[in-house]
Amino acid sequence: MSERVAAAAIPVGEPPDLRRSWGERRALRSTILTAAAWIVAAIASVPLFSVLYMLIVQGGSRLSLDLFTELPPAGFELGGGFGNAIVGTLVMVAIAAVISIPIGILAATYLAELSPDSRLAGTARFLAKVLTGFPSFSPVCLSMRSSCWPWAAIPPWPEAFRLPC
Amino acid sequence: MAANAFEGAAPPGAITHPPSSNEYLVDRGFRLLAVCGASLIILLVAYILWKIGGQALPAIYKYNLGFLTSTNWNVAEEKFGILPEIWGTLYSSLMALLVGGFFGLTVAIFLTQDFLPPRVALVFRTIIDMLAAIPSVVFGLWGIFVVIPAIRPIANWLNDSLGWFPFFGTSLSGPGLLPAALVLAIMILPTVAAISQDALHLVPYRTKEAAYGMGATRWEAILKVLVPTAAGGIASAMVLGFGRALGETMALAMLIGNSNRISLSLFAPAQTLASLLASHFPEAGQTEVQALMYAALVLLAITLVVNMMGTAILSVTQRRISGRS
Repeated sequence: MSERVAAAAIPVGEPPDLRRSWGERRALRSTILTAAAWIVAAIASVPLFSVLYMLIVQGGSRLSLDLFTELPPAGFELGGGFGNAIVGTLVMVAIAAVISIPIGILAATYLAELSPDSRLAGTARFLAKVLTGFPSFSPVCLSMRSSCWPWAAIPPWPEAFRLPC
Repeated sequence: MAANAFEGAAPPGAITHPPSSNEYLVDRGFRLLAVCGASLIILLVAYILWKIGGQALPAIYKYNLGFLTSTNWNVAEEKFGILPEIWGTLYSSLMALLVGGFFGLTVAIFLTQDFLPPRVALVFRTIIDMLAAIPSVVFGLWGIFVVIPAIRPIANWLNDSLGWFPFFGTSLSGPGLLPAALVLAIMILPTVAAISQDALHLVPYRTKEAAYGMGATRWEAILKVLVPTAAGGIASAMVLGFGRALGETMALAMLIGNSNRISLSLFAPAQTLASLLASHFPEAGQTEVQALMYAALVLLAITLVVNMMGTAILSVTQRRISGRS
């Protein structure tokens, strides 16, 4: 019924051209903005490659297997590597992960499944967000001055907690 | 029939039985552990605040609010003030937010509005996310080796020809506010882009369809319909990016020049709260540590306020988009 009325309303003859012409101001503006968006996105990905390029150019010539296994050289000596730093990083990250991942996942279970709308969950969620934004020096200050509390465990904590959310 | 839907089911047996007391116990225990996990987050933040506050207390009594408005940081005379640091923190973070926010939002639009085939968009998104994984120190090095040499000629040319303009008032001799802000902008770009993308995904698809159906061009639909609808989520992305910029330490300590003064010029060296702490803490004596802790407390307060604003904005918009009031 309504189709019939609609059909009758359209005058018979050439259908109007519904395509947008390129020269129209709105279309032109859209095209220009699209090009600009491509350029901006390309610029945004430059830093990553620039950082990689810088690291390879500045450090690539020294790249060898010894670098990963040997200790730093004494003063005025050549050779050596930073094996100790790699081991240290791995050990520290492992300790941090062992402490923070279970707590983070437990907290996330509580926030996502057990009682997502409770007051405790709301506060914890907010503070976890704040904790990610905490300047990294604050735990450092504490660990240097107060105790041997394993502060290394802090940074990955909110990350682990974010995963299941 | 509705009286017992399980009439045809297996009789109580090996699988179907009421939970045993053991299972109850495990369930209770797990719930308790989960509550502990959530509470630990709160306790941790409280502990950090309490510890830093405790160590800052002597300085708070001694310098009071004058600490916030004094521009002097003199260890020998035990006179401390952090106005230049507050200024530098806010100035560099705002500059970073201007640049990083613009790029982040554009990237988010670029990745969500079908400019790219989905697979390519995924690759691009991974590239942007990888920026977030680069350590702060590497960004600092990159700033020293790449950014500063790259922008120095432009900066000095701007200073030569437009030196009367307060933003270009000094020449860029090396480290300064502009390189620091640029590197900061790149560091907050992934945060802003990721959260803005979520916000743009949250806009109902039919809203976009309706805009196209009315004959809008792609950018009319984006700028007049999608971005305003997602404005709250985008604003909260900006706030979170701002929060990250405020607390960034290592890259800034390497790039900002650590100079204790207030200047409107983009090319002058400056100082932020975080870089002040990073550069002064290792050699600080008793009284200076107390002053530094006071500065840390101020920074935490700024971070907390910014985060609260972000959360408030996000909750308001989510309510508006989901249609509940």
